[in-house]
Amino acid sequence: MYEQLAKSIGEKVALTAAEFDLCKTFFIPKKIRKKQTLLLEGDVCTYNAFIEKGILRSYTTDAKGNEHIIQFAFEGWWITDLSSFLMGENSTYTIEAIEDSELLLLTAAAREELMNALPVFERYQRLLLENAYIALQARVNSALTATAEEKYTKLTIAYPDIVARVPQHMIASYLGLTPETLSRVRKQITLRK
Amino acid sequence: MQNVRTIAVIGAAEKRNFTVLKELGEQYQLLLFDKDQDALSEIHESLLAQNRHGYIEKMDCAVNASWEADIIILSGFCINDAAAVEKIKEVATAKIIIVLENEEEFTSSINNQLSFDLIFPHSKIVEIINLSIDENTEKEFLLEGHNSKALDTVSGIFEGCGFTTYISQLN
Repeated sequence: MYEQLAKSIGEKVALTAAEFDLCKTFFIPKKIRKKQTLLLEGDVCTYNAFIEKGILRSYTTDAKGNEHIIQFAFEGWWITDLSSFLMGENSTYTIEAIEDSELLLLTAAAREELMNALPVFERYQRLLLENAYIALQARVNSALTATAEEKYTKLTIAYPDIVARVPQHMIASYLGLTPETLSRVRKQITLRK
Repeated sequence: MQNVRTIAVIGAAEKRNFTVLKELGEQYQLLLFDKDQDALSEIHESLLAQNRHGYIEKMDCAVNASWEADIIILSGFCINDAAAVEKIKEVATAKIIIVLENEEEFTSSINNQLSFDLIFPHSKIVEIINLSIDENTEKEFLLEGHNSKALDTVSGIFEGCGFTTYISQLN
């Protein structure tokens, strides 16, 4: 139940078995079914969710009712609405499971307590946030400068199983493309092979 | 993210808790489990008959029910069944566990009662004793526990269902 968390922490900082046992006591294990929401737009986000198994997505909905996917989160990833989670503001995102998923939830209070109890966890969180910021910059850069084909290619290279696990219309939404454009791009890539 | 949306009820076939489950089912998703699956089916059907649009599901595994839940209620058979409650320990970390008892159940079992604080050292235990004498009287509950936030959360849930609660915070 905590394998991915152990792996994620172990890749960034060193934690003894006893420290990891202590760390586990701060997390709420939670199963969520496909299409169930963990956070609804407008609610305050009270959890930072770590994914042990499954896939989640965060999205926002525009005035016309169109969904715009902000993030996918796979096994070993974290997902939350950070400003809502840290500032207590109403969320601008909905977070929903794409597959049946197993999560470990951390409240803001538990996160603070955990960082006090295990200062190394604070370093782990800092490294995560740095990586997330770098990824965000890359995503903005790609959104502004890359062609549709470049965006799709980059995504499938970075996350090879995304095509098999995530519906095409969601990938299109994440890339800021229409489903028709994505379909055309995929056809072009296939024809070239 | 709302903190409480799904409640697992382990030992849901206990008939004396029907009113509580009926009211909870109006506002929360309920995942019901009992080792007596026939009695559970009866309760499940009765609850659905009173609340057709409710999300009330019969589960065949206490662990899965508790894993999905934000709050776990232990009642009926499992109040004195250590083996049954031990199974859900791993998926109950950091969650509120409500031990729901009737007054007579509480009085008769007080000497050989399981120590839920010891079984679930990383959960927040709230013991609820139903003080109501019969079905016709106003539902009143005494809430006992060490964690003030958990007591407030559970009190909010029960008061929100129209019940009266009295909080007793233990040291």
